[in-house]
This record gives sequence, structure tokens and C-alpha cells, in this order.
Amino acid sequence: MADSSKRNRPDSLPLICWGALLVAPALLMVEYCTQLWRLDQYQYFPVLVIAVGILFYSRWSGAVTLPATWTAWLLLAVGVLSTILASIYWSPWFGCVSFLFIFGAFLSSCEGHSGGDWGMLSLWPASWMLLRLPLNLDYQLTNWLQLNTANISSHILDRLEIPHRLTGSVFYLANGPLFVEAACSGVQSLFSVMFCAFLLVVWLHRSPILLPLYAAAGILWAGIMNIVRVTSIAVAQEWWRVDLSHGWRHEVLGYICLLTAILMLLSTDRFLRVIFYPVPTDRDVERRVNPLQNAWNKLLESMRTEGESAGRVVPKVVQQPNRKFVGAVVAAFVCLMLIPEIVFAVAAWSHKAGVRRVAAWQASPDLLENKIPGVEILEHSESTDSTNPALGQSSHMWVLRNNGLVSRVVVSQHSEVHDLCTCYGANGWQIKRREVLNDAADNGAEDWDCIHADFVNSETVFGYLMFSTLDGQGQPVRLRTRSLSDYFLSRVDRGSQPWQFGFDGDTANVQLWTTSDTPLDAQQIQSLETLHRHIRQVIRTSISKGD
Amino acid sequence: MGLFRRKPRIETDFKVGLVRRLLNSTISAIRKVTQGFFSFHTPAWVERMGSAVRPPRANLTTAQYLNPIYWLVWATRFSFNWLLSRPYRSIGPAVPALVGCVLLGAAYFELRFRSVSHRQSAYRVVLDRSLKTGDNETALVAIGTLTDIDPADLNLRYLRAILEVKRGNKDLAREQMTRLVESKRYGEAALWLIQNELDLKNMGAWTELQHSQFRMWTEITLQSSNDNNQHAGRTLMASYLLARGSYAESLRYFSTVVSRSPELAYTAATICKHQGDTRGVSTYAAQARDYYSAKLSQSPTDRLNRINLARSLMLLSREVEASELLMSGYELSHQQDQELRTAAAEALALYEKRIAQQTSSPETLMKRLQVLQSALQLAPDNTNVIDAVIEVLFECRENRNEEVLTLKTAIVKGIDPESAHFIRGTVALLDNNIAEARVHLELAAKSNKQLPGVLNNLAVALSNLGEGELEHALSLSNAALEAMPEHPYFRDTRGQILVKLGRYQDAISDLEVALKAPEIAKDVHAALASAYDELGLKDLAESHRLLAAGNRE
Repeated sequence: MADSSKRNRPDSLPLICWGALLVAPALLMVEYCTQLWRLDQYQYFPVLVIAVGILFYSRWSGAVTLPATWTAWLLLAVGVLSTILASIYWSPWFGCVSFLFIFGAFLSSCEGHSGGDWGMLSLWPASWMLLRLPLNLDYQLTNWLQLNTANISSHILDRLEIPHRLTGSVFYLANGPLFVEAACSGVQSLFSVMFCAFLLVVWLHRSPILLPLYAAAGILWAGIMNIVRVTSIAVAQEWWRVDLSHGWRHEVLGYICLLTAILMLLSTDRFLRVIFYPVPTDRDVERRVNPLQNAWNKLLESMRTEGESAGRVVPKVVQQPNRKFVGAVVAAFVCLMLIPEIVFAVAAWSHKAGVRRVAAWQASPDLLENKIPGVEILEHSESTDSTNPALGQSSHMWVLRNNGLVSRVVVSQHSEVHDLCTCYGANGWQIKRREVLNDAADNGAEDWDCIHADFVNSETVFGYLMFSTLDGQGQPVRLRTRSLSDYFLSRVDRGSQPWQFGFDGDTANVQLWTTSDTPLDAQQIQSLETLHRHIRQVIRTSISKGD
Repeated sequence: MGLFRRKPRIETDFKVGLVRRLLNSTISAIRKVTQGFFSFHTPAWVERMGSAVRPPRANLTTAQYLNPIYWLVWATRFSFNWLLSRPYRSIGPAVPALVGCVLLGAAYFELRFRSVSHRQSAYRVVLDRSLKTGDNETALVAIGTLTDIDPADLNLRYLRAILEVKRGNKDLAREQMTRLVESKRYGEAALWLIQNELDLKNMGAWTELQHSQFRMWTEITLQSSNDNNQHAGRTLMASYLLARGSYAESLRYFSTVVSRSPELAYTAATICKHQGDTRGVSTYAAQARDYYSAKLSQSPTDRLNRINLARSLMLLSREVEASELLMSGYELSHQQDQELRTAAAEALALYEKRIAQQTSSPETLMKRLQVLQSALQLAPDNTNVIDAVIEVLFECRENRNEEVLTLKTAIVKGIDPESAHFIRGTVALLDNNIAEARVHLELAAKSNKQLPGVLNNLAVALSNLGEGELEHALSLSNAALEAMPEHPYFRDTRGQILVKLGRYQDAISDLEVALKAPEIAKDVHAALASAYDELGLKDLAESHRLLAAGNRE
């Protein structure tokens, strides 16, 4: 009977409207998912889509209404507004935000078999993990976790009497360094484990109130499994001379850790369920009047059930809108949104097709020879296919001497804007100062951001980093991504290039790294700044020409 | 009933049936336990709750809500109820998570409050052990960690650089040492740089940068708190100053290190001798003698100690003793070590020179001849001995004393004919008896040895016989210079010949090299003056003439 009711949908208008609304940010989502797929730590998202789809199908009764609850209206309003902003400014990330809100509104308008008081909306948190943390917060989170877990792993290795040195998150053992390549990429499985935690909440009908606790549990177990992984690799290498840090063994270890983390999440779920189980009310009616106890039971009632159906949940309708009006508005909105999206998407993709990938750029060893007065090139090396993990997938490195200071120039390729301060931080350098300078603001030169950062390490060596970023066509990329306002400013203020894709696509970092045993004076720093400006211009010309 | 039930089989084999029953009961027990363990035991009271989990109609007043005492009562009651009502039977599957969290907490707690000094001492043990076993990789790891714990310990960084050298990473080691020196002024690293980055045996070829590096690094070494480093720095500075010709300053450094390094006493004594400090000579030479005596008594066959002891004795004017010491070494080597024999002859030549400086009586002359006779017997080819013989024969050329004549004859009789002709020829040359000199020197030159000294002296003799012999003299001089191209005496000979041949420009280049020997500078300046005169460079000629006159005065 349930099947026949599910198939029997005489009123198709709501379904068409919701379908149209979900399609509104589609092009942005395509761009967003393309970018997401290039990041290892987010490659779980197809599983997420499938899992949410299965849960939706299994819980949906087949009935859906037009937005008729306050929640649905509110979510839809935010979603529509986000879609407008995302379309105008061509922001894939905002496109994903809008999609999630519209999806939330859709869920709240669906009739489900189960889901407790939250109805189908209880599925919504599972889809949140599609959204990447903005402003590089995801990198900061994973690196924070990696640094902390590395410290604990180091302590465990000390207890196991395995001599090692920990620099940032890189371990140096007698048989060589470990995790150099992961030094600036953080704990890879963090978001996968967090996704599992969110899925668990949805799947087992846990109270959404406890979602932060499950997220914290996800972070905790991702961290613990990272400790296990690091310690296992070090122990295997030192005691049995088995290399678990590369190849299929590393993959197997990674999957074992991920599986163990999921099992531990289930174990944690049991613990949380015991802790947050409802409290029985007193038999004495007078004593039953306890607001704390009542609130507890009200919020955590779902912890009582074992994922069983709590009966059909129908959205609480506040007022049915005018059907024709809603259909017309939705159609107009979708058309309006799709027009700028298509225009931007076509322009963007054709622009991208013409962009030479930075990876294809080949620098000649003598690129910097005789280009900068007073500079002596001491060494040049090239790293491709991660032959030098510390320098990324593909990079060119020059060692040069300028005014008595020996510096390292590295041009490295990345799949998006990459904050090198994070990498140096993970390699044991403590950041003392970081600021984004713009030549245009300083001396009326070209509008080109440059990050200046000062570091110091445990041996009191001072490090000076300057880097700028170029897109695949050799155009400067904005680096103001430390605050939300900067982020929006960089989106809004795009100058003559409204589809500035350097931000989201392939980039090349041009860095100048200098170390000194004593702090450099202002004159020396100025000399380095001038040198960096010269070098990045030479590199830019080379990339633009496609040398 | 329609329900199919399997009829129990009658087991023919009782044992098989028992095993099967046991197995089945075990499996069902495990299943029961695990099911019980993993399932969530819903407490009985939950069944009774029903709508009770929903808040009853609250008849609470605002005053009650605002009354903290009510809240306290509610909180206490809630806590009590909460504690009693947990479904503890269901906690089983949560145990792994709890254990994991407890272990993590314990590890974090221990990490937070661990003793750094304990870790430091543990890694010190690792470092010592790996250094002993030669496990450089582990030692480097231990040093890295120890440096992180105590960045001020420069010795660890120095040790790391040394280990990098052992691993073949000398460039990296150099970089680390340079950093230690430039930013931390670490003496031991400075000493390493001096010993490894500078060619101490070839100081003369250093660039100005290397000189300044040496001075800077030595200064840092001397400021080191380590006595050994200071001592090494002073020793290096003393050698450097000696090579630069700063004898007095060098001696100042030597004087501070000799007591600890008595092997340097001999060098100090020679510097004192150069400086005319006889007291210093005797002091340091005595120190050197004592040192090498002790060494020689430990290993009597060690030729270097023997030679050094002999040298020390010579500085103490005990040349005969030195000669005997060297000869005893020669005997110990079963007459194989000709160098010791030659050195013994040189010691006697030195003795002869000292006697010559003391007095010039006929008895002294006799003694000198006797000493040289002994020396010539030991080393008939030795230049120093032959020079001394020539000198003494020249001195007594007019002496008609019978005994002297006998000795003069005996001296040259004991040696090979070529050397005898060379001596006689040279003496004749010095006596300006060119014809006789030519005869003897030509006879000496006919031998297979073709000694450059013989050729040079013959060239001198021929150049004094007039223009007809000048080309022959030049060819002989060229032959002598082929063997010893930078010898100032030989360059002087050729220069003088070229002046006579009128090839002034060629002559000047030879004569300028000849100026290196101050004892012939007078004649060289005079020849240069005439050469410049002929080339019309009057000013230069005049200056050389003045220098020649100055030398004469």
C-alpha cells in the first residue's frame, strides 16, 4: 500500500517546483564539485550523495508539498538569496550554500515515514558535509589536528624507545623522514570520518542537538587514528624495517584506520546514547514538575529509539500558498538565475580552456641568470611527480645569493590558492608575523598581493618568507582570504576580469625563502622585497609567454 | 500442527554426539552473550514512561521560575535521577571508545606534564650509545631532538656537523660550521674551519680572503672557553705568523704553547736563533732535547725523533754529539738509512762552521780540516759539506804548512774524482785562477752526473775567459738552470753572461730573480745598473748603482 501511495502522485506541481529550485544553482554546483574532486580530503562526496539519496528514498513517503511551513520558507528564502548572490558574483562555494538551503527547504516540505519531530529535515545534516569550510579553515583545522596528534605520537614513540625527531608534523627517524608530503596537507581522513559521524546521526535518528558532539567525536577519532597510523608506520620501520609509509601497504593501513574510526564512532554512539538517555519522570506528579528533566527528555527523546519508525511525519502546514503564483515565481526565478550562470559558466570555461596549466610550464635552469642585477645563482633543481615532497607536486627551485644573503626561490604548482605559511608552520617553523602587502597600495605599482611572513624555529634560526600567486595565465591572484570581509571584497572587486579563476583553479606560488641566524634589519628585508618583486616579474613573464 | 520439526537423530556414536552438542551449546552461548552485549537494553521504566517523557502541564508560577532555590532542587533531583536511570547494562559496546579516550587522555596528560629533563637524559643515552656503535643516523636524530630541547647547546650542533662529515655531506657540514662561527662565534667550529677549509701547509698561496678568514676564525678560537681550542688557536696563530715572517709575534704565541706542546720547542728555538736570542735558543732547545730524548728512549728506532733530537743538540752547540747520535741511528738501521749518515755529515759541517767563527789559529784550521775530512767521508756528495770544504780550502790556499798541505790532499783523496775536481776547480775559481778552474771543472763536468753546480761554476769560469767562450758559457748556464730554474746563483751567472753578450733585456729578467739572494745582491745591482745604462734607462741604472754602493758600504 505504501508503494502504491508513493507512486500515486496526482499533484506534480510541488515536485516540479522543487526540482526547478534545486536546479537553479546547478552550474555553480558543477563548478564547485569539479574543484572539490581535486582535493583528496573531499573525495568522499560522491558517497555522501549516494548515502543521502538512499536515506531519502527509504524514508520518503512520496508526498511533497509546496513550502508551507515557517522552516521551509525561511530555508528557501536564505537559499534563494544565496543563489542570487552566487550567480551574480559567480561563487561556486556560495552556490553550494544555496543548494543546501534549498535542499533543506525541500526536505522540510517532504512527508516521511520516520524522522521524529524533525521529519525528513533530519536528513539535512548529512548533506552539510558537502560544504567545504571557507577561508581555508579546513586546512587550518586539519593542520591543527595533525600538529597535536604528531606531538602525542612523538610521546608514544618516546615511550616505545624509538629515537626520532619531530619538526612540525614531520618525523625524522634513523631510516629517513616520514610524512614530508603530508606536512602541509593535514590529516587526510578528518572530513571522511566527520562525514561518517554526521551520517550516523541521520541514519540512527539521533537528536540533531547532539550533532556537535558527534562532530567532535569524529575529530577525536580522526586524530586518534592518525596517532595510530603514525605510530604504526614508525614502529614498523624501526623494528621490522617494513615501509608502511608508501604504496599499497600505506593504503591498506589508511583504510584499516578509517574502518576502525567508524567502529569507534559506533562505540561512541553507544556511549552518548547511554549518557543522553531520557530520565524517567517521577511517579509523584508534584515531583514530575521539573523543567530541567522535561527539557532533557523533550530534546533527547529520539535517543530512546533504535532507528525504528516513529510514524508518518507530515509537515505542519501554516498556510498553503497560491499554486499558480508559486509556479510562476519559481519559473521566473530559475530562469533569471540560470541566465547569468550560463553566461558566466560559458565565459569561465572558455577562459579556462585557453589557460595554460601551470603544470605544463617548464622553466629553463638559466631563467634567472643575468635577469636580476647583483644576484648570483648558486643552484637550480627541478622536481616533478612529487620527487621532492617538501616542494609539492611540481616545482622549480633556485638557490641564489643576494647582498650576502642566500635565499631559495621556489615556483610551485598547486590546484588552488595555497597558503605557504601553513606548510612552513607544519615543518616546525613558528610564525611570528604575517601580513598581506599590495604593491599598488604601497607605491602605486601593479596590483599584486604578496604575503610576508616571519618565522623562527627551535634552533632560533629566523626565516623570512615572501610569496605571491599567479593563475594559469600568469595573472596575479588576490590573497586576501584571512577574513570574511576580505573574501567578499576579493569577490566583488575583480577589476577588469569578472571571471577571475586564478582563485579557484591552478596556481603557481612564487616564493622567496631566506633563513638567517640573526634577525634581518629593515634594509636587508627591503632588499629581499625588491628581489622578490624582480623574480616574480621574471616568472610571470615566462609563464605568460609559455616558455 | 503443520509445523515441521526435525526428529532427533539417535546418535550411534556417543562421542560424536557429545562433541556436536558441546559445539552447538558453545555457539549458542556466544551468540547469546554477544547479542546481549551489542543490543541496547531498554530499561523497564522506559516502557512505563509513555507520554511521561513529555512535560506534564506545568503549573509553575513565574516566581518559581525565577527562584534559584527551585532550580537548585530541580538540578539536584535531575542529577540524582540521571545517575540512577542510565542503562548501564548497555554500556558494553561503548567500552572501546571509553578505553581509547582514556588512553588518549593519559597520553595527553603525560605529554603535558612530562619532564623535559627526563627526555633529555634519555636522548643523551641514545646519542652516546649510537656514537659508540657508529650509528650516525640515529645519532643525528638524537642530536636533532636534543637541540630542540636545548637550542643553546652549541656543542650538539657542532657534533651534528661532524657527523655530517662522516656521512659524506661535507658541504652541509661546512654550512653548519660557518653558521656556528658567524652567528654564535663557536670556537670549536672555527677551529674546524681553519683545519678543513684552509690549506695550512701552503699559506703562501692564500688569497686575501683566506687570510682574513684565518684571522677571524683564529680570533674566535682564541676567545673560546675551551682550553684545548685556545691552545690549538695559539699554535695555529704562531705557525701563521712564522710563515708570514712575523718572528717576534710568532715567538710570543709559541712561548705560550711550548710548555704544553714541547714538540714545538725546537721551532721556538730556531726562531730565537733567527732573532739572536741566545738565551731563548738554549731554553727552548733544551726543552726540545728533553722531549725528544724521552721519546727516543721509548722507541729508539724512530728516525724522526732521532733527527729532531740531533737538531736540538745542534742548537745547543753539541754538533759532535748530534753527529754521533745520527750515526748510531744509521748503525741501528743496519747502514740502510743514508739520510741519517748525511745528516751526521751536515752536523759536522755545522760544527766546523762554529769553530771557524770562534778563532782563526792554525790549530783551528787543522781541526776544521779534520772535521770536514770526517764529514766528507760520511757524505762526499753533500752540498753543504762540499761548500764548507771549498770555503776552508780557499781560506788556506796560501798556507804552506806541511800538515795543512797533507790534510788538504787527504781531504780530496777520500772522495770521488768528480767531486775532487769540482772542489779544486771552485777553489781555483774563487782564487781567480781561471785556467786551472776551467781544467778541473771541465773534468768534473765530464762525469755522468752533470751536476748543475759544476755546470754553473764552469760557466762562470768560461765567462771570465773572454768573448769567445761566452756562448759556450751561456749554454752551460742554461743546462744548469734546466735542473734548478729558480736558483738565484744560477740566474745571476746567466744574467752576467747575457750582459756581456749585450742581451740586456734578457739579462735584466735573470738578474731580478737573482736579487732574491742577498749575499750576491751587490754584484747583481751593479750588473743591473750597467744593463739599464745600456738600455738608456738612466734613472733605473742610477738607483741600482746606488743600491750596489749601499750594499758595498
